[in-house]
Order: sequence, then structure tokens, then C-alpha cells
Amino acid sequence: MIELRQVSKSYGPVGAARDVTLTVADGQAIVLFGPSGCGKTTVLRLIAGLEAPDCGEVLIDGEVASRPGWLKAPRERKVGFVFQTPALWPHMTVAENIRFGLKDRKSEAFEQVLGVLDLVGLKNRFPDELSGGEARRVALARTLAARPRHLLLDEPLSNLDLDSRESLLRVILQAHHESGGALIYVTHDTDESEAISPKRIRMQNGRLLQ
Amino acid sequence: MKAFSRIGEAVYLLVVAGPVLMLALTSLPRAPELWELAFPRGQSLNLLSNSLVLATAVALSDLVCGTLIAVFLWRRSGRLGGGLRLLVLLTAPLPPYIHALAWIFAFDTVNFRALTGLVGAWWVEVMAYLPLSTCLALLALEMVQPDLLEAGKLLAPDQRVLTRILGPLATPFAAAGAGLIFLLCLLEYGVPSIFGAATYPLEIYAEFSSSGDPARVFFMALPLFAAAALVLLATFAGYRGSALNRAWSRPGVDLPFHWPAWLRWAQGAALLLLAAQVIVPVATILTLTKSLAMLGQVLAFSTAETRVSFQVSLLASLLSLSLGAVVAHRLRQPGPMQALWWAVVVLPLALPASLVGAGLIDLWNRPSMLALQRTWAMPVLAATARFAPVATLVILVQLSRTDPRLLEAAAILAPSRIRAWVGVRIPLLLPGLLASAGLVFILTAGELATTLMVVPPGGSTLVLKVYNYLHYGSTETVAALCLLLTLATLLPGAVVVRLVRRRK
Repeated sequence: MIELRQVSKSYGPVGAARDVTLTVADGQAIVLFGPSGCGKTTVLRLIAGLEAPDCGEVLIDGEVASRPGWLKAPRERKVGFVFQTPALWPHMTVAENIRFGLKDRKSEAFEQVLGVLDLVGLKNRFPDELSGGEARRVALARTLAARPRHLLLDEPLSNLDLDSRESLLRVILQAHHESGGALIYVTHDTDESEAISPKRIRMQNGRLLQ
Repeated sequence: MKAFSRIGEAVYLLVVAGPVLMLALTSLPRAPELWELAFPRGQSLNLLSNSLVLATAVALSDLVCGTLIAVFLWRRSGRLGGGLRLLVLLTAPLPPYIHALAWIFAFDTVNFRALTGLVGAWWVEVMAYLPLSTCLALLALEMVQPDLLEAGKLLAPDQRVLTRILGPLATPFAAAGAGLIFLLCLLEYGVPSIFGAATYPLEIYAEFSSSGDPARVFFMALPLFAAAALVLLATFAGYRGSALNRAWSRPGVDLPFHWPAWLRWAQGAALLLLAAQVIVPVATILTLTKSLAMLGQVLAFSTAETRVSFQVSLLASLLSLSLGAVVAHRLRQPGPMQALWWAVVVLPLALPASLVGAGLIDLWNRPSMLALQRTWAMPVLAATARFAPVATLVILVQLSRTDPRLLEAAAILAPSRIRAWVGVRIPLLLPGLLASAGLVFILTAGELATTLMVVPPGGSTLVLKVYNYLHYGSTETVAALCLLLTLATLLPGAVVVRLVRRRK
């Protein structure tokens, strides 16, 4: 379960998240939507531990993970985060990118995500040899291979063609079903949001409008 | 505008590549007679190895120390971060031989006599180039895109992110920084000569002083140029890749990193060195100068040299800025000539200062140019030949950091090309233009080796005066001159930093 209790975060005078309170139970999926700059990405980054809140608390599985001045390390939160851009490490091959977070290099999860995301033929390529759609699949594979309990996805399928989007959405929903954790999905796309969850939350000016 | 660019490129070729090309043209016919000078033997070979060992040791020591300090400063804001960054910048403009004097005085005071020969030169050059290596390592770290690190932090401990992601991504530019320091040490003879360490560039200068034959200098300098060019080619691939990478303009975020204990201890030791390289020169110069009256006295009898230093530095920085701006644009244009232009910009950095001096004399030493040789134009041309490539590379970095869409939008929307330049292009490039002008000013103010060869009869710059007084002046006078030179280089540096910050 992911909980945010009256969390606020500002960048200088700009309030990116204001008094955000939100609970996403295990097995539940929600969609965050709203205009650009309304604070959706900031909420995901606060949950992932990439930002510290100015006030309030973030709890993951009932334990405090962030409060002002204290952060549990992102890798210890059991969350997977897919960024708006693929953010693949350019000096590593596809296989090395995906294996980076795995303790066991011969992990079954590695072979599994390669198969599920159709990356077997690409595993020795470098990121600059991939198309935009392939890079997004690798980014998703890297996150899923670590078997996170909760998933945070920040417009993971933007700029993809319809077929690729549908197949990746199926993979995401399957991964969410298998992990049994929470899923928070940021998108502007109505079709995507309908496929993910009926629970849609609008954000505006850093606030959640339930 | 195209004609203006072509003229700028031609002048750049004449000023930067011209001296050495002319030297090559006049020397090559004498190859059968002088070729053996290019293959040093006996004592010359020992001197060449001394130079290579010294430059390698300084570059590696500074790479390690500079990286440790940079990792500490990286993503550290607030008073501590700001204060330490200021400390790094404070003594960066000081010429290395001022550091040499300060350390000699400091060690003499405590009766420590081990600072001689190559060891002394190594210690002082490590100290003198530490601010530069720290700045370059910091730049290398800040060029790594934050989302690549965040993606790593989500999956692995910080130490693994450091060794597997941050390290490999920052290494190419950091290696280019180490390569630059290697070049500066390899081609410089001021500090080794103060410590009595015989090096190859000093041998070249001595050869020119005794024979006055530029062709002999050309062949003698070839092995040094070959070594420097090899290092340049090996390390500057990283610089080129980074300079042409548009993505690294993305602002960073405050992401806390927790380093292991051994790294924190090593950082502590490197920070102590950083403090020492600031405290020792500043304290020594201030202590030895003794009084403001002494500074006033020195200022009074060095007015002409101070004015000349200022004029030469200002003219060289303006000329380097104009030529560098034209050629930096040229470097970004893809095509078959791009690699050639990269060679034209980068290879002059590998030229020993004495060779540039000899080339300048060879190029301009003609009856029709006699008037030019008797003016301060020669030191200006010498400084431009040495430092215009540096200005070009700094402007290139700024160009790469500027969003091309902003320039394209200006090209479409501005009513005239001049409005697009004045209203958008120049303001966007201003931090890089100011930084390159400031850097050339500081480098020229401290330039000794080439100026010594081309200075007009009876003339002197502030730095030449320091160099001469080192041999027969009183300690107090030398210290006061150093203080004057420090102020003359620090003040424009401070103005540039302030202007750049304001632009940001």
C-alpha cells in the first residue's frame, strides 16, 4: 500500500505538490491526470524517494519512507519507476541495462522480461542503436526485471504507435496483477487511462481533485 | 554573414596555425641536415623522459584529487558548497610559478629542504592545477543526465551507481581534463626551471636562445609535439563527444548520495590539499609583502608593465573571442571539413610554447613587418596563437548547451539577421563568451614562455618583471609584484564570474 499524508513540495516559490493526501491499496491501480506542470511527476518522485517532502509523510507498506529531512533509499522501497524518457545508460547494452538492478546475473526474471517484451534479438545492442519504441520497451523491462512490488509509471507509452501501446499495456497490467502491489499511472491519454483503471484522479496546481 | 565567417576562419588559420605552418615550411627543406634532432639521445632523451614522467604524475595526481573534491562539491548547495566553490576559483588564475615561489618560501620557513628537482616541480604543479582539475571534474559530473542516476538509484546502492553509471559516464570528459593538465605540464618550463629540474621544453628554449635557429627548434620540438598530440587525440574524443552533446543542458535535481567511509576520508584529504593550495600562496605573498606601502612602491615603478599587461591581455582576449566564436560555429557544421577543423583547433594546444614563439618570429620576421615587431602586437599575436583554441572550445561548449530551437525560432521570427543575433543569439551565448574572454585574459596575463621570445626590445610585462626579479630582486619586491599580478588577474576573473552568474 502507498500512502501520502498531507505531503507538500515546493521548488522555490512554485508549489509542485500541495497538501497531497492519497492512498493506493495493494492490488489497486489509479490514474493521475491533469495539465502539464500540475505536479503529477512530482508526486511519483516523492513516492519513489527521488525528492524529499517539505512537509507530510510518505508511507510504503505501512512504514514511513519519507518525511522532511529523512528519506529511505529509493532502492529499498520496492517500487519500480518508469520515467517519461527511457533514461537508458548509454554505455551499457540492453542486457546490461536490464541486469543492472539484479543481484543474480543469471536471474530467471531477466530471461522472462526479455521474452515477454520481445527483446531477445536486441539484448546486445546499445541504446543509441534502438528505435524510440524499443528504448521504451527496454526501460519497462529494466523496471520489471527487478520485480518491484509497486509500480510508478510516468507517461510510459507516450509517442508509441497503437499496436505497441496495446501490447505494453497488457504487460504492465500483467506485472501489476502478479506483484499484488499498487500501481500509479500518469497519462494524458484517455484510452490508456481507461485500460488501466476506472479510478482516475485529476491534479491541478499541485492539488489532488478527487 | 558568410563572407564575414570566411574572413574570420582565414584570420584564425593565419594567427593560430600560421606560425607553426611557416616554421614547418622553412624547416622541412633542411630535414636531411637536422632530422636527427627529432630523435633525442643521451641527455636529451633523459630530459624528454623527465618531462613525460612529470606531466604524467601531475595529471594523474590532479585527476584523483580533483575528482575527489568534485564528487564532494557535486550537488552540494548552500553555504558550504558555495564557499568551497569560491575557494576553488580563488587561486585558479594564479600562474604556476607564483605557487612555486609561495611553496619555496613556506617550506624554507619550516626548514623543509626536500622540495627540489622533479619532486618540487611535481608538488607545485599539482597544487597549481588542482583548481582547474577540480573545475573540469565537476563539469564532467554535472554533464551526466540526472535521470540516468535516478534510474540507477532506484535499482542499486549509491556505490554501485558511482562505479557503474556516474564513473563511466563522467570519465571521457574527466580524461580530457587530465589530458589538458598533462599538456600544460609537458609544455611548460617555468616551474621546473625554478626547482632546478631539467626538462625538455627548457632545452628547446635554451637551443633557441643560443642558436637563434627556428629550424633546429622545430625539429627538436617534434618528439614533444608527438607525445602531446597522442595524448590529445586519446583524450579529446571525450571532450568532442561531450561538447557536441546537446542533452547535457538539463538542470540537475537535489538527489542525496551516501558514499562509503573510505571515499569520505579520501575526500577529506583532498579538501585539505585544496585549502593548502589557497592558504599557502595567499599567506606567503601577504606576509612577504609586509606593508601596503611596499605594494604602493612596487605599483609606482611597475605602472608601465601593469598597463602593458592589461592592454596585451585585453586585446588577446578580444581577438581570441572574435576568432573563437567564428570557428566554434564552424566546428558544429557537419561535413568532410569538420575533422580538419577539429585538428586545426585542437592540435595547436599540443605545441610547445617555445615552438609557437619561434614560429611567430619566423612568420613575421620580414623587413616589411619590422614595424609590427617593434610593437606589442607580437605578444598579442603570441597569446592569441596559444589561447584562441581554448576560447573556441569554451564557446563551443556554450553553443552546445544552447537550445537550438531558440536560435531557430529567432531566425524565423526576427525581422532581420542582425536583430536575431543581437536580440537572441548573443544574449544566449553571453556566459560562454564572457567565460572565454575572461579565461584568455587570465592565461595571457600569466603567459611567460612565448612572451619572453617575442617581447619588443626594452619592453616588459608584469609577468616578465616577476620572472626577472626572481633572479636578482629582493624577496619583498618579488612578493609585492606577485600580489600585484594576483590582483590584476583575480579582479577581471571576479568581474567575469559575477557577470556570468548574473546572466544565468
